[in-house]
Amino acid sequence: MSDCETPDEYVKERINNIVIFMCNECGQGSANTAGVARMAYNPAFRIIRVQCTGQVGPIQIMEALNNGADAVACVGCCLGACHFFNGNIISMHRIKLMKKVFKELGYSDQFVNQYTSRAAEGETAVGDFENIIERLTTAITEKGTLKDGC
Amino acid sequence: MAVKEEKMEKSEVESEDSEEPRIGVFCCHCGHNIAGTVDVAQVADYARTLPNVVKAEHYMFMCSKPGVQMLKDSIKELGVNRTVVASCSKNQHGITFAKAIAEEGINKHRHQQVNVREYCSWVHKKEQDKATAKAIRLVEAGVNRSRKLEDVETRRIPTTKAALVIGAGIAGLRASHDLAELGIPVFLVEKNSTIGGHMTQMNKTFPTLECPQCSISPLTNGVANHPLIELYTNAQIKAIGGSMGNFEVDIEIKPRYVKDNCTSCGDCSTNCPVEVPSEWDSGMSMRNAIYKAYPQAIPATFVRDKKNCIECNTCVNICPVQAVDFSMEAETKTVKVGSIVVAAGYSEYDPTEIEPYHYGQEGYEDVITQLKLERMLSPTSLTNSQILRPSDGKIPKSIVMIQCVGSRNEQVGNKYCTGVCCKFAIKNAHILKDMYPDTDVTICYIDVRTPGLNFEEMYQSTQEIGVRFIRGRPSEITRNPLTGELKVIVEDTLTMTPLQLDADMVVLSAAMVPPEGIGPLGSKLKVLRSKEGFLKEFHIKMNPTLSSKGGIFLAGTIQGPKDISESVAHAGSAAALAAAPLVRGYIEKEMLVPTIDYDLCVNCGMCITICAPAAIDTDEDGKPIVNKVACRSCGMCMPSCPTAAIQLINFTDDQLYDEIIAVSGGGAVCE
Repeated sequence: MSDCETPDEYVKERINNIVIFMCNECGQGSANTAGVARMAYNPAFRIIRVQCTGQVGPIQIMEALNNGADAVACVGCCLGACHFFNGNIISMHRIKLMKKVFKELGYSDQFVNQYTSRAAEGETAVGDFENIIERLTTAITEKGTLKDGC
Repeated sequence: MAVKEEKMEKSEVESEDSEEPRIGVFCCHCGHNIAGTVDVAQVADYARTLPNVVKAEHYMFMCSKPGVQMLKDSIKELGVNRTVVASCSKNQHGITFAKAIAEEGINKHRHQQVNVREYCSWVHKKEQDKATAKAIRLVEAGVNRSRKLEDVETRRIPTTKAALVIGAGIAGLRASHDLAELGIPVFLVEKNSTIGGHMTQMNKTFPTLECPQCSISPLTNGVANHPLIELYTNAQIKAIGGSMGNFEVDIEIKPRYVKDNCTSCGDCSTNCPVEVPSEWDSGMSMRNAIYKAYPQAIPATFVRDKKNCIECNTCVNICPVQAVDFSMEAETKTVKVGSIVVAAGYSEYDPTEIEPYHYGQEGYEDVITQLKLERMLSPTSLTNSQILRPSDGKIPKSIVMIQCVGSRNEQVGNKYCTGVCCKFAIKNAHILKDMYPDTDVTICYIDVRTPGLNFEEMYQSTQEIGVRFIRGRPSEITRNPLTGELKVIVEDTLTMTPLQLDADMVVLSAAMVPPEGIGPLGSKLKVLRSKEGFLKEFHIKMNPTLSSKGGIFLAGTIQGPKDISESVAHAGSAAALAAAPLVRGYIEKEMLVPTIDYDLCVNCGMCITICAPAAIDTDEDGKPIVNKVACRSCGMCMPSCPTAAIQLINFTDDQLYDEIIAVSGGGAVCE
């Protein structure tokens, strides 16, 4: 429970591994656009390419957290613009369910999130990343990490 | 081709057991783009220590000719069978390297591209140590992933050179004609007895006030006489099987009861004792039980309406060529096609649902829809193009048009704007004011939406000739029970004044809604629909003509409300896309498809439910089978499977796990 008193800055410093599942279309596209525009973000973010966010199941998310990731997020296309069909919406529902599980287990529900981005706008991806850090920092300072079990 | 396929299948089988992975890792400097931030030599050194890595090098420009040669040499000299290049994005040079290894005889899917430029060096310029650490993680993940990569074959699937077009409105006709002009045989299926659709019902088209019948008749004639187009009227789709490139469609053709030798003389119709309201005329005139919808109708053969016929046999006896035959029966025809274009059009919204407008109720005969007004204005109308009140046949002194009836209305469940009602209301108001300068014409609108060339000009000129525009949605149409006069109650929201407008006639601009019978058709096609009920396009910007299922294309208003010009353009695009695989003769598809482990499968059917392109079918025993041609490789079936029996090749749980452990290690907060 020692982390519960940690100030925001200290936690932010220590977040260094967030696994992002990005879909092959808008997710990857927006991260590429952000790179081309040299939009700096935290090096904690590591991107795994999947075909569609609908492909990412609880197994993958739990494996990542189990292996020491600080948080996991899925980034897909905008709602209604999935390049396959409705993978992003299915993924969103799945992550909603997972959040419930986290809450029931007594953890914060911010360790797993779903985002959308647009291939043409790198800002969307970077904005998602900043939001992840923000939510995670608040969650950790308030309720502690997964390891703490609080 | 066949030999190559065989070879590939063979290697696929062998690769797992017999072949040891030999991985070559290549880190690109990309000038200073990567090397300026990431310590490339350190990454290469680390990669060399990883299991199965036989070569790890760094080089200035991997995409240059010597760089690509390094890749090829490693394959030749060291027997490398999997390559990992840490450079730019998969879309940029991933293709270059994949092509290079394919030239050396290695399947291009064995190349793994790691993006350290866009995802690492360019975005973490100020944190070089962390960037290097991240690059190492990314490369390790790439190596782990590449270890289990399998060959993916590219298969050519021959297509059936024929197309099916459903619906013979303007969009269906355009698509059929365009397809036929490309040399593709077309089966055109129309539900009604004539072709032309809603466009033939119009009086004038905006903004040029042209006669729609004159615009469409070259197309209707062209389609009817085209040697490659087979037209089925009075027909509907019974069943659809198969997938992209090779569909099998059952078409049910209902009988006309009049043989093709009909000379269209009309003797049968004039002597028929039965009269019912004409559907084509939107109920504004009567037709007989044996009839032709309108004078220019194509096909010109008369048709008998069996439901209303009293079987007096007058027509059978009077026909000079003995064309009328009551014994004709419905037939089912099976056709094989490669692509399907759905152009089922729209229906006009039925305003009876909106209680305060009293549409269709007794005493409110003078409340009509725009389509009825068009019919009244048209040259072949019963009123001889005059506007006469349906209740007493007098010329109205005041006409009120109400916009957004059934659209932009959450109470009836239609949030969307139809987008064409403002245009046709303004057009009709203009025509009415021209015909009867003494008649007051008022349009009650929420917002006037006239985007596009010439439409704003049309709006302005209509205002100038004295058509009154009132901003406000009328709350009610009331009727004086003694005099029968109608009043429209509306608040002018610009001046905040409640108004009671005298109306001899009220015209409702009804929305465009999905056509009747779209439910059964949609389920036969197995395509998904938007929440408004229209068929959903594949991607709103990048591919608005493809449906959710490959090989099925959308044309015109079936995808969403459109005007005639947009429908025609949409149909042209659908025709071109539908023709492409048929003209080429084959579909080339990478078999990046899921495989099912039947020992694990429990037949729960979850994968079948979740598959958006409906690419998973069941066999006779109820076991799921993947339709490799229809599959879109999204992998959505994977997490839905409770036993992990279905796995997408090269994206299996196993392979993703390897990548995840490399990437996710070392989180300081949770350690």
